[in-house]
Formats: sequence, structure tokens, C-alpha cells
Amino acid sequence: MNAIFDSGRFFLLLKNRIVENKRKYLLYFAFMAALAVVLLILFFSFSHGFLQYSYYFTPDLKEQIFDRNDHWEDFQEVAFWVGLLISGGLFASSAFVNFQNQGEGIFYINKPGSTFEKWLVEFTIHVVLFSLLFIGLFYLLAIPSNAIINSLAQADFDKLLNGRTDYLDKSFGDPTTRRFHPEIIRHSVFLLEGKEKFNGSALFPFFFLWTYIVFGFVMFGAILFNRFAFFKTCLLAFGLFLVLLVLPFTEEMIIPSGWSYSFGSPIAYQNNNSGNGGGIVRLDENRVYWGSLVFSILVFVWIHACTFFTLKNKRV
Amino acid sequence: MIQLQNFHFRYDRKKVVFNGLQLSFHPGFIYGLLGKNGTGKSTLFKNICGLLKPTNGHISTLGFTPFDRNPGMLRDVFLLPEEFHVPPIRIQDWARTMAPLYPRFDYVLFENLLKEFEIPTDNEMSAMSLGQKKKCLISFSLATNTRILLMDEPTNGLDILSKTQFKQIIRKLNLEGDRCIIISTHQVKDIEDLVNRITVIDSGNILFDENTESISAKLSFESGSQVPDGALFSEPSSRGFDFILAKGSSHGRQPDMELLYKLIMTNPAVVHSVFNPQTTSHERHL
Repeated sequence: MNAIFDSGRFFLLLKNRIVENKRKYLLYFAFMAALAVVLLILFFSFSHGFLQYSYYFTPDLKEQIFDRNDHWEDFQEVAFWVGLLISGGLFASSAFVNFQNQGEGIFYINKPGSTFEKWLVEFTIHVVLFSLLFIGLFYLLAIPSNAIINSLAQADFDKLLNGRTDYLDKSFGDPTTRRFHPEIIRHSVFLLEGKEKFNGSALFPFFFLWTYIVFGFVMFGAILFNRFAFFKTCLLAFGLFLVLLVLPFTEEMIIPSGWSYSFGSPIAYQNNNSGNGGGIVRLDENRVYWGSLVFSILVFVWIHACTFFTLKNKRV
Repeated sequence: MIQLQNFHFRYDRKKVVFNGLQLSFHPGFIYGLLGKNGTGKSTLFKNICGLLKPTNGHISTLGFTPFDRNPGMLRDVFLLPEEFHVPPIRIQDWARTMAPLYPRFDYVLFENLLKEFEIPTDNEMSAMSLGQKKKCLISFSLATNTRILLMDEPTNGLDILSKTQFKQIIRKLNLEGDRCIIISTHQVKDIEDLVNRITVIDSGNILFDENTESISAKLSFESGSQVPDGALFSEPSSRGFDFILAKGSSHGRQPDMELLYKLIMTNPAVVHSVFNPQTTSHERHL
């Protein structure tokens, strides 16, 4: 019998954990779905009204319409990342909730499984399964929402075309204004079609890594603190934020004297020494990207390792 | 089975619980671990099953260092804590996912015990009364068939009938040679004629650790209208007086654990001299 990891034991622990908490998990996802629906309804009401307004009173319709087109996809993108971060962060805080109650903590620690398996069970539920369910829920809501908002936009556009025939004639003749065609205003589902904003983006891995770093931090706090863990973790995060803000770890530590960031950019430096002509040096963007990625992966591994070792040394 | 050598434990600098304890628990026994509130019974249990780490010294549970929390140890140790929590699911659903973690789990025994305690398996655990929850967990803990079963105040929260049922169930247990049960309590009456070894701890020290056979052989528990000379301990009762005499007499009652416990707590030196005469004479020479 392997004392560190045994797949059979791991799946037994995972099943046990899900069965014991199924009501809590279901309630949480129901709440999350309800919140998402409310947000979507609010967004529909707001965006539809705004388009009507632009039709009647705004002279430059072109920019307005394309702004609207972007708004919906931007909204989806923001909703995805903020939703994943906040709902996932809250969900992650329930990962080691057993330690808030001594009796529960005793049963949890005494379950016949290794510490690694127990940690992996929480990671699987609160990071892996949660992300999959969140993405599933996002699709489930985004696809019909997209259909609704497209039909609303189509209806508005029809009205727009009917009411402004003079503008229509002119725009069809000019290729630069073909964007006014109803097909162009059709919105895409951010995850399915918005490739330039999602998996095609250079920032894509960073979003996920730092979201999971936040989850790891919340899970770490849930083990570390026995009472009011989430509240104390937030305070700790705020404290860390202040320390990082106050510590002069940026310019004074990294940049040699006489140099500064060029217009605040972290990859371009300005030589302030008049003798050297005050030239600008740009770092290799590729190196900066990969360096940042490696750094983010290391932070991700470090925070989850901290969670594991805190669990290993947890006294109940 | 369980060995504590030079075991030290403290929660902080001021709160020292154990200071160099030497103690062993052997298979084949049902131990009654007695002691006043706050003497460290629960702390001892937590150290034995790896919930806490000794400040100093060594503990071995089934050959493992408990705080390593090796699954090989955890599947053979079950702690029924005094304070517990049950999930909001039905007993059968909970048992279905918990039981496979214990390789020697006996489903038939579990169902029989629940029947005996009159608890339906489709009950939702969190909706049950405290006593019912406790009876459910007692049933589960016994059905795990772990080599070490630690029960911390198991009769707390049980009504009189349930306490009797509990005693009957434990008595019926066919304790195999490689298993041991340790029942901690400060309600001595609840484990009377149930345990076959008594361990009393006080202020982090072992005051007493003897088999019930040895107790019967060396002490006599009697009642009478007057207290005879040489009684080691006496107290008024409905029968006049209950008292303990050294050396078993033919008409003595079954060992009265409560009386014995009071003797141990009030006059440990006398008890020590009865059970360890050689040491006492050696100490006298010194």
C-alpha cells in the first residue's frame, strides 16, 4: 500500500467528500446560476435601452453601434474572469471548512488517506471540477443569452434601417461602412468565438494562473485559521497588499540609479543621466513574457505547496 | 500496540499537560481511561491518533509515528470524539462512502447495531437528536473493526436506556487478540463491569494502571453498618457504608469502580503500596 498516493483510496475520498457536501455544492451552484441570470437580465435591459437611445438621438450611429457590439463581448469576458475569480474564491474558502468545527476536523484528519490525497481531493473539487463546472455554466448561459441579445440587436437594427433609408443607401455603396450590415452586428460567444480575447490571447495563461493562485491563498487561509477563516484571509491578503505597496521593491531595487521606467512601462527604461543622452532601452518582450510566465507558475506551485504543508502540520 | 515513552505535551508554555509520561496499551483489553476533567484524556487520544504532535518524547501507534498520519495507521485507528459533527446526509449514504475506507468494516454488524439502537438507516444524520447521532457514530465506530478504537466520553448525551444498550453491546463484542478499545470517561459508573483494565491519569501522570483481575485479587469491595479497621476507603451509602479492604475476602462484591476511583484520587500512595509492595518497601529503605 502506497503511503503517499493510491488512486483507489483517492477516488474513495473524493466520492466521500462530494457525497458529504453535495447539498452545499448544489446550493452554491444554484446561487451562482441565479446570480448570473440576474446580471444577464440587468445587462439586457441596460444594453437594449442604450441602443434605442443611440438610434433616436446620436448623430454618429456607426461608432455607437460598434461600441455596442464590443460591449456585449467585453461584458462576457469580464463576467467570465470576475465570475471565476469571485465565485471560485468564495467556493475555495469552503475547501477546508472542517477546521472551523473541532469535531468535523477530527473526522477529516482521521479519514484513512494520506495528507497528499486529502489535499488533492480539495484541489480537484475546488479548482479543477469547479473550473469545469463554471465553464459549463458559462456556456449554458452565454449561448442562449447570445441568441437573445442578437435578436434584440437585430430588431433594433431593422428599426434603424427602416427609419434611416437615406443612410442605408449611402452605406451600402461604401465598403468602409459595410459594418452596418445586420450580419456584422451579430455578437459572438466569447469562449467559443472570441479567440482574440480568450485562448488566442497572450494573457490567457496569466488569468488562469493568478486566479488559481488566489484560490490557493484562500484555501491556505481556510487551513491556517480555525475561526472566521475567510474574513481573516481577506485581512491577510489586504495586509500583504499593503506591504507590497509600501515596500520599495520596484524601482530602487531593480533599476540602477539614474534610470527609470519609460512612461511607467515595466519593459522600457529611460536613462535619466544627461551624459548618456537619456536613451530608452526596451527589454526583449519575449523574454519578459516567458519570465513572467515562469514566475507565475512558481508562485502557483509555491502557494499550493504552502497549502499542502499547512494541512500536513495542522493540529486539531 | 500503543507506546508512549517520555511523552511530553503542552499547548503553550503555561499549559503543560504531560511531562515525561510512560504508558503502554496492549491488545486484547478494553481500557477504562479515567481522570478528572482537564487531566488530558482527550489530549492523549489526539496524540495517539495523530491529531496533535508531542512536544517531546515518542509515541508509537501500531508501529507508526501518529503525526505522520500514515493511511496504514489511520485505517486501523478510529477515534470517536466527545465533540463531533455529522454531515447532512442519510446514514446509509454516509456509510456507503465511509465504510470502504476501513478494510475490516462489518456492514452486518453496523446494521444490527443501528437496529439495536432503534435508528433507521434512512434517517438524515444532521436532523437526528444528539443521542441518536452518538448512537449512530458508536455503531459505525464498532463496525469499523479497527485494531484501536478510542472512545472519548461515549456515554455523554445518552439516556439511561441507551447507556445500558451501550454496555450490552460492548460486553457482547468478541474482542479479537489484536484489538484494543480505550474508553475515556469521568462517569465511572458507565463503564463499570465493562472494562478489563483501568488506567487513571491525573495532572499528566499515571496514578493507576491495573487489570480488573488484579484489582479483584488485591482489593475487596464490601458494605456494612460499620467501617472495619484497616479499610482503605469508605463512604456512607444506603447500605450503611461502602468500603474497600486490602486483599480480597470471599464475600466481597464485584469491584466498584467509582469507589476505587475515589480511593485512587484521594489516597494514591495507599493504592500504590497495595499494588506495588516491593517498590514501596524499597522506597521505605531509601
